Amino acid sequence: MKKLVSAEIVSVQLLNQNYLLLTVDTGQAVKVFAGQFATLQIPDVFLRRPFSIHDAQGTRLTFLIKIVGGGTQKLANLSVGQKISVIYPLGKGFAVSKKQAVLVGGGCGSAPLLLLAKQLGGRPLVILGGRTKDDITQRDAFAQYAQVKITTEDGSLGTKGFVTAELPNLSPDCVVYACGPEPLLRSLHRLAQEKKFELQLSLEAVMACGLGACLGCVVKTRATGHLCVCQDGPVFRAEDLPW
Amino acid sequence: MVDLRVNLAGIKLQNPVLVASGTYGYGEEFADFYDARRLGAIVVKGTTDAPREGNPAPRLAEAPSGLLNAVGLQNKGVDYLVQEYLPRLARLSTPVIVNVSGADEAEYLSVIQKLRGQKAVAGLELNISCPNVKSGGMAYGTNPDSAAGLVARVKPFCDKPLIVKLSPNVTDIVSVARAVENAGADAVSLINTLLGMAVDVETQRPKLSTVTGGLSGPAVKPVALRMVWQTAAAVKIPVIGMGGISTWQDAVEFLLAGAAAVQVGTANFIDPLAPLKIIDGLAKYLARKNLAKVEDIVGRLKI
Ligand SMILES: Cc1cc2nc3c(=O)[nH]c(=O)nc-3n(C[C@H](O)[C@H](O)[C@H](O)COP(=O)(O)OP(=O)(O)OC[C@H]3O[C@@H](n4cnc5c(N)ncnc54)[C@H](O)[C@@H]3O)c2cc1C
Ligand SMILES: Cc1cc2nc3c(=O)[nH]c(=O)nc-3n(C[C@H](O)[C@H](O)[C@H](O)COP(=O)(O)O)c2cc1C
Ligand code: FES
Repeated sequence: MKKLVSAEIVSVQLLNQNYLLLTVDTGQAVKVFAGQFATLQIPDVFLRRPFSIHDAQGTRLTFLIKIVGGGTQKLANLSVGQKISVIYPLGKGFAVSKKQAVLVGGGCGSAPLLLLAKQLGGRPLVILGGRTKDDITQRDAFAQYAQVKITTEDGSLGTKGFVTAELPNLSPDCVVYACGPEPLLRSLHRLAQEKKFELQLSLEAVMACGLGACLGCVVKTRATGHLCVCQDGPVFRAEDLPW
Repeated sequence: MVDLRVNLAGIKLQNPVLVASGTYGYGEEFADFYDARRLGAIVVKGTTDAPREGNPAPRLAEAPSGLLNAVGLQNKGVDYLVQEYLPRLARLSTPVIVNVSGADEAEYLSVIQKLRGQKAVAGLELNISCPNVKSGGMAYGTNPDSAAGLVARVKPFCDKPLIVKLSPNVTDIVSVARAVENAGADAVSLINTLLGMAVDVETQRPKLSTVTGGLSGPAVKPVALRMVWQTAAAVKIPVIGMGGISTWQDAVEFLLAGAAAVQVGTANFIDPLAPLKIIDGLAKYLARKNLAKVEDIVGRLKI
């Protein structure tokens, strides 16, 4: 069941110039599945903004946010104690499978993977990729629940190159859960077609309602036409996308 | 006690606050937040005869205090509406108004005929104002003669009150309103979205796949209010006002300008509780002004 709450800001932590960790207290404990998201009504911003739920503990939700524009900048300027309207949990999360899991996150695409690593258990492999070391923000948090490998395009941290550089040999017995920029997701999609592993992708779209009401956030699928990223996703099976 | 009931061309509503087509889904999307029974009525998404895929993504762009959309009448078609959505909507006691859309006269007629006798349907809203489709839609609504022609053609087949939804993308909305009134419309609703566009300066591409789209939200409110005021002064049938209504004060402005009822659209996306807050705020306002019923403010603008 979706909740509309006035949540209290518990902490706003700038991780570096471009990333922010925001924790709110919703006043109620709600079961959240990894990959689900919330929409935040940012003061003086018109549309609500969607963010993956990075962590959920008791009545608290944490978001890992990259500052990319006016709304995310305003989030960085919020103070502890302020109230913010939050709707959550939204969308369908990752479909947890028993196969050997590899989690791949590009930049702020790593956000939904922390809760996923926790919920999967068994210390799965997580590959965190970014353009520079600034995009690798939650290494220690991930290390508690997963084996972590890091790649950066400029080589400033971990292996130089794309996340694909650290991918293990993937067989049909593996499942890859990925979130990040579309070029990254598309290259994984090609690889999955070749090596026949299961691939689940968390997609982004500009959203207005986040509730499946406006039909604004659609993605084209192979068999079922336009589906809503907010309601039918944000996680889709790669084979359903006509990429 | 304030009496919020209104009779809209024969459709009896417990209050004058409706939710606008395309912004509320089919009564289920907001069900976790409040009981839809509290609404005056639910206007469902534009419904065509055959299912429609709508326009490609991206379909949304934010504008200053507004939203541009290019959804393009994506819907599962009237048969699906009748079989799947209407039975579920019927369980709410809230009146349901179906937004009827089409590419040509034949399609509008087919939708209307398939809705005949449907007990769950309280009224029809003829969408002659969708800016996001290539044929039909706004093409009818921007010319008084073609608008009147379509209304005259479909009216004999309507077994429910016919509300005609007008486009703001015209030089003289009053002439269209008068034309559809003369052709038999039982009410008019306005405004649909205003044609607009937005450009991404980095990619140098339009933000919408269709280049242009429909603007809604507070950005359009002054234009909508002006059009409602002009129209209400010119026609005898009820006028349903919408365009950027987000607060009870906005709703009262439209009622004073002559709207018999209002629809809440884009505001649902920002605050799902907006329609309820508007209903409660309106009741308190009337009580504070010592007025017994909604009618007591409709068109009572002091000039
Ligand atoms: C399901 C989902 C989960 C997301 N999870 C995260 C997350 O965990 N961490 C994170 O940092 N970001 C996440 N995003 C992206 C985040 O929503 C956008 O970065 C944010 O809305 C930008 O707001 P802004 O006002 O700062 O930027 P704007 O100035 O509005 O725009 C900057 C850029 O962000 C894009 N954008 C704007 N609005 C949206 C929107 N509603 N949805 C998607 N993109 C948008 C624009 O196209 C533009 O390229 C997620 C998006 C979706 C759809
Ligand atoms: C996403 C979206 C979809 C819409 N779909 C329809 C539709 O199917 N039929 C219609 O007549 N109007 C449609 N509209 C227009 C609204 O019903 C309303 O006329 C308009 O948005 C102005 O009101 P608002 O500013 O309160 O949103 C849509 C608007 C939006 C934002
Ligand atoms: S954002 Fe409205 S349907 Fe997905």
